[in-house]
Order: sequence, then C-alpha cells, then structure tokens
Amino acid sequence: MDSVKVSDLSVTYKAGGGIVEALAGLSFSIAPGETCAVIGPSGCGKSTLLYSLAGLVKQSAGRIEINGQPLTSERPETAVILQEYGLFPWKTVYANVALGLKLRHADKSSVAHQTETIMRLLNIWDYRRHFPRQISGGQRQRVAIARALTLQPTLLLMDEPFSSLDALTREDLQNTFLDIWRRDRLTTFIVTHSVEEAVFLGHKIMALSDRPAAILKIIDNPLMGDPDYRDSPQFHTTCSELRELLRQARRDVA
Amino acid sequence: MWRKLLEYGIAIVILGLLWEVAALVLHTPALPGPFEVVSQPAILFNAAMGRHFAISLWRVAASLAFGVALGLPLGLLLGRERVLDRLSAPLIFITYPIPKIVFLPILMIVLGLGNLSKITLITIIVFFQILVTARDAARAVPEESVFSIRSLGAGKWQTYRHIIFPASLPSVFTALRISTGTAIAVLFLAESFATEDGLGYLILNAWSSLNYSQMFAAILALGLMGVLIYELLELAERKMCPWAEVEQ
Repeated sequence: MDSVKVSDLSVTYKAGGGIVEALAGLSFSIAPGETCAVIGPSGCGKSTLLYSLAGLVKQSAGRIEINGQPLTSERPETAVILQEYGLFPWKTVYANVALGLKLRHADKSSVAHQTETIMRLLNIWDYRRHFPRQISGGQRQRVAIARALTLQPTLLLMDEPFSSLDALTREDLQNTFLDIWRRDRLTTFIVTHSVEEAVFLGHKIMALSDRPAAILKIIDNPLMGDPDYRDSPQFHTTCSELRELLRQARRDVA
Repeated sequence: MWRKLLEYGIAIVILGLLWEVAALVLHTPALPGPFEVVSQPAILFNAAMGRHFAISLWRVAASLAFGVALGLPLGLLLGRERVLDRLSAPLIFITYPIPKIVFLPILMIVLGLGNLSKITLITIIVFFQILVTARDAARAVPEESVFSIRSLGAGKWQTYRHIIFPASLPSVFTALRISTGTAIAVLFLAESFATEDGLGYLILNAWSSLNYSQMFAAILALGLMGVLIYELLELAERKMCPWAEVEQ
C-alpha cells in the first residue's frame, strides 16, 4: 500500500475570471494502509486536495510524494470516487464497473471475472443490467466503490462518498467500506463534512480551515476500525474534540 | 406498435377532415379533397411515383448521413478543444446564418445538375445544424465526468468515446429531427430547378400542368417520407440511447 507525503502544497486556479486560492501550504504524511478523513467548511478546498492527490489538478507550489516518488500526473494505482458517484448514466451498472478494466485493455475473460467477483462482493450483481438512474443512491455508491476496486488500487480517494445517503444506508456503506479496508488495507483519503463519519473512518482526521484551506490540526484516532467504536465513550470524546476545533476556527474567522 | 399505428390513424383522420373542410370551403380545383386524391390509385401508386420517391429519399437520407458524419465529430472536437474552438467559432458564427440555398447555382455549376449538387447543398445545411448542436452538447458535459474517467486511466480518445460522444448523442438526435424538416424543405427547392426527377419536380410539374390530384399525391408522398425518416430516427435513438428513456 502507498505512503503519502505532502509538503507545502498550495493550489491556485483560475475560475470565473478570478484567481481562487484553494490550498495554502499543506504538509502532512500518511503511512501505508492508513485512512485519513478530511473535514472542513464547505467550499474550503477539500475536493481540490483530493484532486491534487489524484494528479488531476496541478499543484502551484509544494510537493506530493507517493511512496517517495513525486506525483506528476494520474497514476493507475490510485482510484478516485467522486462526489455524486461519477457514474456514467449512459452505461449499465455492469458497464460502469467494468469500464476501468476495459480502458486498461485487460483481456475479456478477466474483465468479466473480476467485474462479477467485485459486484457480488458489494451485492450489486442483481442490478447489472440497470442504468444508474434506475437504482437507489446507496446502490449507486456501491457501484462507484466497485468500479474503483476493480482496478486493485493501492490508494483510494473518496470525495464525500456517503453524504447524500439516508442515515441507515450511510452506516451500512460505512461498514461495507470498513470491511473492504480490513481486507485490503488500502491507504485511503475520505473527504467528508460529517464529524461522526470522520471519526468513524479516519485513523487520522485532518481538520481544514476555511479557504484557502490550511491544516488546523491532525487528530490521531487509533481506535478507528474497531467494530464497536461507534458506541464507545472514546468515539464521542473524539467527536466533541473535533467539533470544538471546527467551531473555534469558525469563531476566529468571524 | 399497435398503439403507434392507432395514433397515426387518428392523426390521419383529423388531417383528412381538416383537408376535406378546407376543400369544401374554398371550392377550387387547386385544392382537391382527400378522397379525390386517394380514390385514384393510379396516381398514388405507379412506377413513376416510386422512382421519384426513391430518388428523393436517397437524397435526403444521404445528406443526413453525410451531415452527421462530418458535423458530429467536428462539433464534439470544437466543444472540447478550446484553442480549436477559438479559431473556428467566429468562422462558424459568420457562416451559420447565411441561407445555404444561395449556393445552389454555384453548386450546380461546379458539381453538375444531378444528385451531387443537391446532396451537397442539403449536407451543408444539415452539417451546420449538427455541428452547432454537437459543439454545445460537448461543452455541457460536466467536468466531473471527465475527471471521473480520467481517474480510471482513460486517454483522450477513450474520453471522447465513452463520455463526450454518448453524453451528446440525445441532443444530436434532437438536432437530426429538426434537420430532417429543413432537409426536406430544401430538397423541394433543390428539386424545383433544372431537374427531371424527385418529388419536388413531380409536385411542380403537376402544378404547371394543372394536375392538382397528382400534385397532392406527391405532397402526400413527401409527408410519408418525413414520417419514415422520423420513425427510423426514433428507432435508432432507442437503440443507441436506451438510458435516456428510463424514468428517474
């Protein structure tokens, strides 16, 4: 699995005639197999951080190293799950999941085999002939996860993957994610705006300030991954700590 | 299938009634009633009519096909490649509103009086309509979709094939339906000069010889041709964009 080391990362981009300063000098490092939850006010640049780690957005200054190698463009070992799933409405569920392998010119029988295995793992095989529009939000998210996993990534980047789901479906999928993470130990970044989700899914919780995003604090959360963590007192303590941190940051701005 | 036939049946009855009423009210040989036309199978179904119909259908269908073959890829390219678009957009916007029919005399001189000049003229018109639509549709493809497929490792060509093309297809079909109407109207004009075949020629020829029944028979054939093309487009769209039909 991949290690990620970021030093002094800044990103500015042009949008609507102006220059947007999205990230201002972020430095952190994540060990192989660790998960990092990224939380901060909406529009603060969380997604830009994710795009940068994916190599989809150019960094203006600083350095991103993955396994000690400087990142210059997209790399095949990184899988990205974008907000609103990034599924293609014109492809069936099956074609969406198989697409990544197909794009890499894997041979037909291995595409079929891997796609089916992963779809069964995520309980979406029955929907293979449906179009994304015909299935529920939770199922769509499973499709997006399945598509990312077919590529056997060593780094997984997720942009608010569960934010538009109802509470029970969200917990369901968070648990599904943990199952997969326990199995594969993928180094994972997960952008979220939910304090509980950040604490439930992140070994490290990176709290960001308002734009341009800077790191307020990185909280260590060693108990993450424990199945009963959600009901433990430490979980609630960490949630309170994080919530207080974010509140404090907002007060300082105002 | 049966429902569709029934719907067409109802439409034909309504149009026939309106036609009959108009014929009764105006009471002129220039507008024969529907029964007068339909009751003469000899002018509706004969070898000449078949030949004129076939040649007109070929002209329109070939023009639509060439127009799409040229306009669709170029439109998609302009919609996505900014530099190319900046260079060519002024060119398109200046030439797009010019009524292309004015080029008919030049085309006839250069390409002759046969099929080639007519098909070229209609192709130019269809080409522009498809080009402009495809360009806008390709521009409207959300950046997230492009990010999404790039993150799966797609190159440029694969992005066009799996994202830009399918995302733009429904708009292109809409443009094709509009183009079909324009194409048939222009076909009529093109077939009214220095020609001896096609439904347009048949209509004008019947008109000048005051054979109004024959004229309306040819008009009916022209309408039938439009229906045929529309239905083929429907079929093609259902085959190629099954996802666009599914309910939310």
